[in-house]
Amino acid sequence: MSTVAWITMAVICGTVWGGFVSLWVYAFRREGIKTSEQNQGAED
Amino acid sequence: MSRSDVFTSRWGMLIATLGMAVGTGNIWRFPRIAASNGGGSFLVAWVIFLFLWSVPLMIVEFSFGKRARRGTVGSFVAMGGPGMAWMGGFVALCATGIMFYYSVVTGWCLRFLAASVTGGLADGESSRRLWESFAGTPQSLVTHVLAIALGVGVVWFGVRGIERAARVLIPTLVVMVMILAVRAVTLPGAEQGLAFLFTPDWSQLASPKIWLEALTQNAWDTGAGWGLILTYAIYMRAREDVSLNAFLIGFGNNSMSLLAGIMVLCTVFAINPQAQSEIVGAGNEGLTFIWMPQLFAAMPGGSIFMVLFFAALSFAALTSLIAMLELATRILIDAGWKRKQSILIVGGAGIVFGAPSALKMEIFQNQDWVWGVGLMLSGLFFALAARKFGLERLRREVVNGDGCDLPVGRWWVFMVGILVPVEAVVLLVWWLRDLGPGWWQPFATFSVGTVLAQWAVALVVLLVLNRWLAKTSSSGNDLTQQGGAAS
Repeated sequence: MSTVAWITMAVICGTVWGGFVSLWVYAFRREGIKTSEQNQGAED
Repeated sequence: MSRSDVFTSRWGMLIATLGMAVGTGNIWRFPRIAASNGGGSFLVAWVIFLFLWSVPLMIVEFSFGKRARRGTVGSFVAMGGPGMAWMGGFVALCATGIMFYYSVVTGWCLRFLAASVTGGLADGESSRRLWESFAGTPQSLVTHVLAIALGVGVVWFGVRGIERAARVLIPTLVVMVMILAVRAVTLPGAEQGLAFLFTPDWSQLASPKIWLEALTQNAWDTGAGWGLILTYAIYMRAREDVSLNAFLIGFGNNSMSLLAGIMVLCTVFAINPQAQSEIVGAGNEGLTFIWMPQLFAAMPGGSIFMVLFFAALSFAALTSLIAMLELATRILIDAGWKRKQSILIVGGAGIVFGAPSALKMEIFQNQDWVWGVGLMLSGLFFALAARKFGLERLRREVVNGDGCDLPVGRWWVFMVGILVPVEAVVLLVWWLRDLGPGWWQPFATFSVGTVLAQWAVALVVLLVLNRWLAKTSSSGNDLTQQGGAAS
C-alpha cells in the first residue's frame, strides 16, 4: 500500500471514527453534568 | 405524553436512532459505491457531504420533533403552518413507500441468515441457486410478512419496545461488524482491498459524478431528510440536546459504513481479487446474496463469518424497518387512533402494498427508484419548512435552546437556508436528467416518467387533502401540553 493510501486511510478513519468517539465521550460528560445539576436542583 | 412514551435515557435514544440510520445501505451499497467511484477520492467527498447535507438536515429533524412533538405531518403544520401539511405528507409517503419494499429486503436477509445457519450456503454455487429460486417468488412473500410481523411486534410496545430492541440489536450489530472487519483485514492479500479503498485519485475530484454520488450516499444512508429522526425525536426528554445528537448520529452512521467498506473490500480482494470488478459491479443484491456467501465459503472458518454477516445485515435492516413502521404509526396516533390499532393498520398496509415488490423484482426496483429519488425532495421540503419557521429563530429557540450541549453558529442557517435546497435541486436534476428514448413512459421500471407520474399522483392527492391533513394531524393527544417529556 502506498504512503498516500496510508495517509488517506489515517485521515478518513481518524476523522470519522475519532470524531464519533470524541463526540460520544463529550456527550457522556455533558449528560453527567446535566444529571448532577438536576439532582442539585431537586435537593435545593 | 406519559413517561412510558419517552426514551429512558439519552443512550437509549441515541442507540435507537443509530439503529434507524444504520441499514442495509451501509453494508451493501457503501462499499460498492466507494469502490466504483475512485475509493479514496470518493471518501473525501463523502466526509465533506456529511457536514454539508446530513448533519444540517438531522439538526432540522431533531429540532422539529423536539419542538412539535408530532409526526411528520403535524410537525410540518406546527413549524411551517397549515399550508405545509402536504409537504409533511409527502415525507411520510416517501418513507412509507420505502417501508413497503424495505420489508422485502429485510425478509431476504432473514432467509439468507436462516440458510447460513442451517448450512444451506455451504458450497460456492448454492447462494446463486437460493437467490434465483427465492427472490420474486411466493417464498419471498412469506419472509416479507415475517419481517413486517417482527417490526409490528416491536412497535406494538411503543418507544420502550423500540428502545429495548435497539439496546440488544445495535451493540450486537456493531460487535459483529467489527469482528468481520478484523477478520477481513487479517486475511492474506487484504491490504490490496485497503489500497483499493483508500488510494485517492485526485483527478477524479474534478468529476461532478464523484461529488453527486457522495452526496447521494449521504442522503440515502444517514437517514437525514427521511422524517425518521423527527419521529424518534418526538420521544426525546425535554432536557435533550439537538445538535450534538445530530453530529453523533451522522458520525456513528458513517463509522459503520467505513467498517462495512473495509470488511467487504478486504474480503473480496483477499479471496477473489480477479473477480473484483465483477463483484463490485453486481449490484446491491448480487454483491450481498450471491457473491458474499461464495467468498465466505472459500474462507477458513467462513461458515461462522457468513452467519455473522447475515445476522448483522438482518439486524441493520430490522432496526431501520422498525423506524419506518413507527413513522407511519405516529401519524395515525396524531390523527386520534390508538397505538395498537395504528400499528395493525400500518402492518396490514405494509403486507398488502409490499407484496408486489416481494413477488416481482421489476416492481421492487421501480419502487426503490421512485421513492429513493423522492428522498431528495423530502430533504428539500424539510429545508423549506425550516425557512418558513425562521431559521434564526429555530437556531436560537430550539437548537441552541434548553438542553443544548453544542451551540451551532450562523453557518447552519446558511446551510439549511441556501446550501441544502441547492444540493437537493442539483441532485434531483442529476438523477432525473436521463431523457433518452421512452423517458416519459410511466410504467417503465427506471424511467423519469415513472418517477414524475407517481410523485404527481401523490402530490395532487396530498394537495387536495391538505386542509384535512392539517386538521387531523392534531386530533390526537397534544404531546406538547402534557409535560411527560419534561424530565
